[in-house]
Amino acid sequence: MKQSCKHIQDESLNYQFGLCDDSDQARIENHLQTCGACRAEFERDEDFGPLLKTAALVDIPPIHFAPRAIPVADSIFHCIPGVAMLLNPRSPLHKYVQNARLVAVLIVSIALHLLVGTFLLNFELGSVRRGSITDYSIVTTVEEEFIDQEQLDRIFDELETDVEQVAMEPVAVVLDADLPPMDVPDVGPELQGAIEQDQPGEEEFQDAMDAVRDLALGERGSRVIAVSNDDFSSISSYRIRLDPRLRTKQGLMRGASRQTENAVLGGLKFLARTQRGDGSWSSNAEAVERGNTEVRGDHDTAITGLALLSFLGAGHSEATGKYRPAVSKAVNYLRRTQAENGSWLNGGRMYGHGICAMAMSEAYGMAGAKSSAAQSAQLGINFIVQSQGEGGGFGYGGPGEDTSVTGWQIMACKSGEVAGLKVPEEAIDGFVRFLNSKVDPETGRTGYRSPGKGSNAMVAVGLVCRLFLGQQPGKNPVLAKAAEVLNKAGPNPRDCYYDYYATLGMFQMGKGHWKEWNERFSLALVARQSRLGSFAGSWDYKGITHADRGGRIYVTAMNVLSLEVYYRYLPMYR
Amino acid sequence: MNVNSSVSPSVAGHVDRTPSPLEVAANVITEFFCSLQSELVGAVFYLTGNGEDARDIVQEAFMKCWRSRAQIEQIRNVRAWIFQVTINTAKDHMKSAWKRRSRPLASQQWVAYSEAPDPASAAAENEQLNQLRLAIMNLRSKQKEVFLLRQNGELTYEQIAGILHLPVGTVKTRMRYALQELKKSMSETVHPR
Repeated sequence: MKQSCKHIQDESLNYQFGLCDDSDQARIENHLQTCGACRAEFERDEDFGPLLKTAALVDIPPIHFAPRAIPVADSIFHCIPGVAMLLNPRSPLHKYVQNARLVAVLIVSIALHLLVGTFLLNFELGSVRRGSITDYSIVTTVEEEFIDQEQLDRIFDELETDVEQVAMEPVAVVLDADLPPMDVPDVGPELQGAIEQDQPGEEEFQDAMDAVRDLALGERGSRVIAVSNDDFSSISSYRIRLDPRLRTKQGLMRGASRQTENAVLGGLKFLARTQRGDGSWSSNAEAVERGNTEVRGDHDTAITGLALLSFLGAGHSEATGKYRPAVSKAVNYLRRTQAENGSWLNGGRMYGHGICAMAMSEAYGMAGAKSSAAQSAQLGINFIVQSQGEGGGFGYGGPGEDTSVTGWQIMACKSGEVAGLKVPEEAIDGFVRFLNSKVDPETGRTGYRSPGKGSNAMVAVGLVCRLFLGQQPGKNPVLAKAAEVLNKAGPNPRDCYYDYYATLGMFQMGKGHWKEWNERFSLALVARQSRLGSFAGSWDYKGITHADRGGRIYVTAMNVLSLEVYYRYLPMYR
Repeated sequence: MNVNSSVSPSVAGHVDRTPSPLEVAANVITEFFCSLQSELVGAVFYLTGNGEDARDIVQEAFMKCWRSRAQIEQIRNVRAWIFQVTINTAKDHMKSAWKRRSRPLASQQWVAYSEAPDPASAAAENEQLNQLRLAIMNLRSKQKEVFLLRQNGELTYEQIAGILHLPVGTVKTRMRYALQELKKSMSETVHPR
């Protein structure tokens, strides 16, 4: 026994410091369960692993990794091997190059050619690309990189001055005002022709902003959401997603990068690839892993809702974007699978319903009159309102006390409200009542079924719901406490559900929370994305909490939503 | 600006272009280096003992990887490959006689990551951290190498064995010694018995 303990203890140093291979892990964990002495030893030193991890890192100003200077020289020599030979002192030709001026002339000539070439290329592509600011793809051939880098710099300069020019005095916006008309004809996706002519342009957007500002100066309603005028209003929130320029601007202002945007594009590409003919996605984790997306799972409607949300979050709607057909198909699928009472309860129960109602509300909010989701979304919201429990909450089967399930209903109603759907005041009051009944005001933790007791994911859900229900960070200490809990816990690579909510919450908390969270979260998530083969663009689901019920598609949709945080919703309180 | 010229072409412009395999590879490499820079620079810093050089070495490693981006399809684990290239670059660097005289534990600008909530516990944490940093720096180079590849590189022992051309058992033994050393350094200060 003693001998085996010694052995385990040697090996388990690795385990203890989080440095153990998976194969050894199970064995050591087994031993720890039976051997109290070893366990005590471990508990004494449990802080050591994180400390060691920190110690091995160094904090330095960020390095800008860009292959620019050297590749240009490389490529010149590769393109013109003769020059390389002439310039190489070991080459037999070198002795003929006695005159240094000849070399200089050669270099100048090459440089000129290159310059003219680049200019022409730029000119030629300019017609398409000059306005294109969402072209994030990192390119590596010398000429293309030159163009893109220039272009990106230009956009940066332009947008930065833009951002400075915007005045910052806070403006309050009455949400219920200026609603789009509710009486929307139920139309399919065959409106393609009309679509091009009716996308929100900058002027139109400016008008909307002005209108919002005017409204704010007038009557103030009971539920006022404060925003600053550079942040636009929640009404315009969907419009920001729709306009690539505004989206990019928002993204850049809030910490998005080429990497995060590339990851979003990759994720959406994967989702588009795995969508089935009927517009749905598979929640069958094993089948998808084998490459078969046709096999039904238990939560297909819920997963379809999530995937749809991730397309909507990047500006693809029934009327806009490359993935317009995918979005239309998904909306149609959800319309077809909705029960007569407005519910989507087949699989995922109330969870699935909240997700689908949220997705349909956003689909309607983004495409307006061109959306076929309006009625379905309103029916979905109505079902939520009817099913709300006495305490304001929901459970798997309807009324209940489950914070996680309730979170989706709250977000659905919020999305519906922003889209102009009818959400009764009493339902909102119920949500607030429910959240208040689940929070421990001392710690700021929102519990799962009882106050303050639950995972960090529930803390994040609570925070996000409060923010979206209009509670301001400065006014309710619970919000700051919850954000502190999340900040302390940090992003969790094994829980995309928690990460999604926490990222959304930290983004809305803004100052003092967001920057650090974003740094800890986004690039690490990007680095975990699969890059090669048929899973390129997706994220692995193994080892991720709850992910066995939705598999790779679930994890990918959640992560894409997290990476869209920069422009998906506008910051409400700054 | 009217609608058609401002929105639609840019949407079209951005969606129609699929990046070439080379572009994707370069993209992957850049992302890895950006997201791993603390780990990479940390590893090189402890190996060479010089903070200034560490940055340059990592950048040099980046260029090496970038130049061989065409072969990235054949690389099974990009993360492991990047660490391999970086560690080898650092070793080459140390072999050169000029640079061998490196300054141990460089200047103050290598500030620790601190997650401590308040200054008091930050100070205590910092003291522990410095102790630990010194201990890492003082590890024997063979153990140090294995430790850094595992801790910062998060490579499996098999991957480390492959990179260093050693049996897996040897790698694990070195790791164990390294951890014992580090733990000892801490128990001397943190847990006086």
